[in-house]
Amino acid sequence: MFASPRVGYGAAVRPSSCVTAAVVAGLSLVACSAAGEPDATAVAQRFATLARSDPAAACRLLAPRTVERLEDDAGECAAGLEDARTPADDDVRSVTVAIDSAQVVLSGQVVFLARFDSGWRVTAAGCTRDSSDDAVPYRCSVEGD
Amino acid sequence: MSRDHERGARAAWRHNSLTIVFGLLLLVFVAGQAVSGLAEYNETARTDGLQEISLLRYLSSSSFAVDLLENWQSEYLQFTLYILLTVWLVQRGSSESKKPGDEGRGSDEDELVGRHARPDSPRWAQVGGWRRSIYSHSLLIVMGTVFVLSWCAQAVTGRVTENQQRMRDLLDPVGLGDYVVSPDFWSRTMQNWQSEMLAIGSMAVFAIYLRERGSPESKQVGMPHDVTTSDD
Repeated sequence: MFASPRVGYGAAVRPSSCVTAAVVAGLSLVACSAAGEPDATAVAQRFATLARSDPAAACRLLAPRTVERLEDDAGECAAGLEDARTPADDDVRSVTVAIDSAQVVLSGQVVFLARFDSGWRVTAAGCTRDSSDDAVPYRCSVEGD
Repeated sequence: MSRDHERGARAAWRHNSLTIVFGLLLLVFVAGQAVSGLAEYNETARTDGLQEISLLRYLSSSSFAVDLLENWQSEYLQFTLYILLTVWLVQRGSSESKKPGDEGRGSDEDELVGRHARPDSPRWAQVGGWRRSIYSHSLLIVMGTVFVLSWCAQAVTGRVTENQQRMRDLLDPVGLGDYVVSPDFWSRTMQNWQSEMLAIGSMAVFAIYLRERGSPESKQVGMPHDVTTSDD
């Protein structure tokens, strides 16, 4: 690491530095793909619609831990969704995907999702902001632990 | 294997063993980082009731990339600063420094450029103009460029990783402009920078008083402490 530049260390380092630069560029491209936005959006919109019209079907779009929470609170998932009364509007304002997490902002609520082998699943819904402090989480009528 | 090929392979090893060994160590440690990083990622996923991922998926994720890049950028910052500052700054008695009084860019004769170049000097050291100028700073240019690129890549991949955690915590994601002034970005950056500066400073001082026989990073065992030996 500290070999004197006067013994040719610089010449030996340069090719590996070029390789490093190429790897850095490649990692950035691979790691920052926004793939998944259409799928996450579709699941969030479908959930928003089904949660009021067909809660049992909406439960199949929920993440496992969120289903468990609703069952713990209301006895069964569909009953818990009915009690939550999440807004039915599904107009999309914005979508953000980061690795296996997503946030879909609808006109009346914010929905958080996670990607599973079976596809995107809703981890929290009916979310609204109670605080202007960005460090304070959303308050959600449907969420896991 | 022919006798000529064997001689070639042995010669290649003998002349490049330092690079080869460090290259292999790099691969081993990156593999170790990948395995341990995946285990940590999946442990967190299980805790949060989320999906575990495969090694291939993890290697292509920002989570792996940011952990790699935050270390790489600081290493290249270390090289960049070390190469640049040792032009003008000295540490008497260290094997990592020029002698006091030798500060500065050096004469053309000292640097073997132009008419003072050797017949086997690099071509751009023999010529003048922009080629010699660029080649005279090529080490700093490459190291500095890799530092900047990897630090930028750390910002991009770090934002994605931070946003994944923020959304798991039911928080809004942040844009890149907000992320590069965020505690997460600067915490990752500073914890790496401080360790690099510690390493350089420690080595510069330790090399005054301590020895490792046979290493080019050390003065000769019997060399006095107050003798600066980088040009010897």
